[in-house]
Amino acid sequence: MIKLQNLNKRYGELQAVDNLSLEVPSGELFCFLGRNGAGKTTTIKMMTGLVRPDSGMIHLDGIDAMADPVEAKRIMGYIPDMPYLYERLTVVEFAQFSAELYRMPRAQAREDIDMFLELFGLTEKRGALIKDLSHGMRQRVIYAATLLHKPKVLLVDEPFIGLDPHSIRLIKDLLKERTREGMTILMTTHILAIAEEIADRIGIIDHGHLIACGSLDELTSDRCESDRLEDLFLQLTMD
Amino acid sequence: MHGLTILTGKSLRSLKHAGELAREHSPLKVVVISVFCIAWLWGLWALFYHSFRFLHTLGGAGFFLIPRLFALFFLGLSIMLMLSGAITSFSAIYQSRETRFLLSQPLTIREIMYYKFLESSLFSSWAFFFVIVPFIGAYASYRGLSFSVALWTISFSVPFVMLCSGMGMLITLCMVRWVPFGRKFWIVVIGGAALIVTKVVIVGMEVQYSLYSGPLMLGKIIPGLEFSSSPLLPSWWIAEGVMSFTREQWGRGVMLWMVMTSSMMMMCILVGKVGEVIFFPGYQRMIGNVRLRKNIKPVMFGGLERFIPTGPGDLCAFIMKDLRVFLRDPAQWSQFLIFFGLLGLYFSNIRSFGYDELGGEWRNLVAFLNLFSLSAVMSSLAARFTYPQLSMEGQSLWLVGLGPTTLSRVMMVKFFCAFLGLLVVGEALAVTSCVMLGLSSLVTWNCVVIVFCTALSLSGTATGLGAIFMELEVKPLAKIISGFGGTLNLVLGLLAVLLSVCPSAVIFHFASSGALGPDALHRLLIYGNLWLIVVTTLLSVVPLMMGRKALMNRDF
Repeated sequence: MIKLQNLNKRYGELQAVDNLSLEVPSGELFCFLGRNGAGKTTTIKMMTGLVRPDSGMIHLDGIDAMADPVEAKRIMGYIPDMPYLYERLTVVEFAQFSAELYRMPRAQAREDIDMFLELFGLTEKRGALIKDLSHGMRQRVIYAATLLHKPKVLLVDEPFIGLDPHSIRLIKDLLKERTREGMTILMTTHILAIAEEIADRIGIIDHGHLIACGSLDELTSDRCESDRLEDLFLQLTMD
Repeated sequence: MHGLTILTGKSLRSLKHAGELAREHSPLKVVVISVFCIAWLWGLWALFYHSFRFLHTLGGAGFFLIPRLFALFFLGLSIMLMLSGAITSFSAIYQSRETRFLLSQPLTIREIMYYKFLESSLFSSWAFFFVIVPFIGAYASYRGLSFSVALWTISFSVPFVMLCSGMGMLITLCMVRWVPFGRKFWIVVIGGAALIVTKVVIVGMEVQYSLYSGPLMLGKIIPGLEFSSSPLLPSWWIAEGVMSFTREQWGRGVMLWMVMTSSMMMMCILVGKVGEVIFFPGYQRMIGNVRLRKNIKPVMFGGLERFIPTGPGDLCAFIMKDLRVFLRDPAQWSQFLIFFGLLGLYFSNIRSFGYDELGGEWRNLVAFLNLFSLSAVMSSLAARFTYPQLSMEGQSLWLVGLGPTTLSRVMMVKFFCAFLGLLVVGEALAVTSCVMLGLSSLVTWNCVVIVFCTALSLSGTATGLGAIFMELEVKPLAKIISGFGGTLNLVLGLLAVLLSVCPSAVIFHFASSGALGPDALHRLLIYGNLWLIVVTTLLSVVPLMMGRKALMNRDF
């Protein structure tokens, strides 16, 4: 579903992503780990079309994301670490706007919006302006709006920053459920315990290189005496 | 254009909540802004109306001049709109987080470009309508025209605005794509600006329009009068188009409207096409530059920082921190430089305009108008820089709370820094103005005293109110300044300026016109200065004391 081939991105002297190749099959939750500045966000941004790679190929569900970015974005959902929301729209208006962008039929959009607002506990807030919502509520709004068009590929950058335990649980369950339904999810996080808990496979990136990739068992049995992801991560990324 | 329809629909939906959001602003702010807007529109209308009446008294020359002044007026506005369009589109396209969001949505670059074009045209043109409405209104009143003139003007204004801001947007797109923004670029820009300023000063010194010698050449005094009448300029199309309708030359008016509208449509196509090709590479270049800049040593005017005296203690720590933040933030020092730099340029060129050759009464008038402008600039800088100082400490105030110092000491540091900053620059400019006008030492000294007191009042009011209305939540600067406290500070600042400058201005006006003898002048000056002391004390000591009390009673 996600296929990255020999991706490279350089900023001046800094090689942000270095010959990165990766394949994530359909229905898998792939967790991308790495230290700050390791190249995780740059990789995701290249996949969303925000950053143009210097070289390499990106295919999402068989669509060449560089040759046909609009089609690629149509089947993709992206939740950045600091999502942008239109502060002067209400929750339901923002969801409607998102549905219109993805050309959803109106009747279906109305039904799905109600369903997602219910799912994320936003029904009571549907008429509230986004600027009046707390951080956790805003995150719920962005998840609802992004999942509305049922993307085949979901890219999530640091999904758990500043969330309360209820919201974290909600999002973890949701991500697991969506992968079971066939959605492909690529997620970055610094919370290793969550990666351990929900990821089907884990990739560790350091200085733009993918230095390890596999399931938790494969990674720990091959490379580390301990079976803990934290020990493996520290061992692999220590300078 | 599916995406453009949705994005415009989204903006219209946001407008539905405009009333709700307006209610969140403090009533004082709404009243002050409304009063200023009405005063501005009325003042400009009166100015333009009397100018047209004056031109009418000139007879044939007046009738000859009005169409040319129309063209010149719109030429000036077109340059303003183009610059404003370039700046607005830069922030709307490259600095807005919305662009990143839109790029990750299934929208084409062309749709995003059209949307941003509409947005930046709207944002860059509101000031245009605040100028054009009183101008056309005054002309309509002077000619006794019907209300339909407003319709013709709007029908020309919309394509005119879009044409000019489209030009600005194209400039921005090309600059971001191709102009090298390295150290060399800034050397060329600063060097170029310095050359232009030097050239202006030299030309000004050479020309010396004497008000008493030789015939007046209008073309010399009003630069660009001839150029603005070129039929190739959009500003001429709008000027001539509106005039044609007022003269009931319908065919000519419609023809010019069609020229304007078709050019605007051409500009839309150009913006979409050019944007489609060069926006994304420029955007990538911009992202790359931001990443590279992170590696540059974070020092602005590094050489200058070495000369800042350092010392131990909490007060020095705060002074150093504020100075560093100020020097490293181009947005802050550039505003300071632009405001005072323009005044400095004008004051140092006073003799080029021949103002020093005017009679005593007029020189006196110019001196106090200059002093008023200077004080008004000081007031706006106090509102912009001094008032939000304590609020901008924001969440880092816990450092003060834990440290062996008090908030009142911090407040006094902010006060003295603001006072010294305003005093040094203000006095230098006031003395320059007086010296260039060749005023007596009595007037000069009086101006020096007024600037001292104004600096004290403005710093005291801004710091004191900043402490009383301190906002500890992290908020954008604009929100802090435009809240209730910020508006009150601006109003009190302007009041301080009026109360400090006006009494002396009136006294010297009557003295220079011969209505006051030397004894009466000296007696009134004593009263005037006593008044100044009272005003300064009220507007500096009282707010500071109230601010100190508010800080002591505050929970964090």
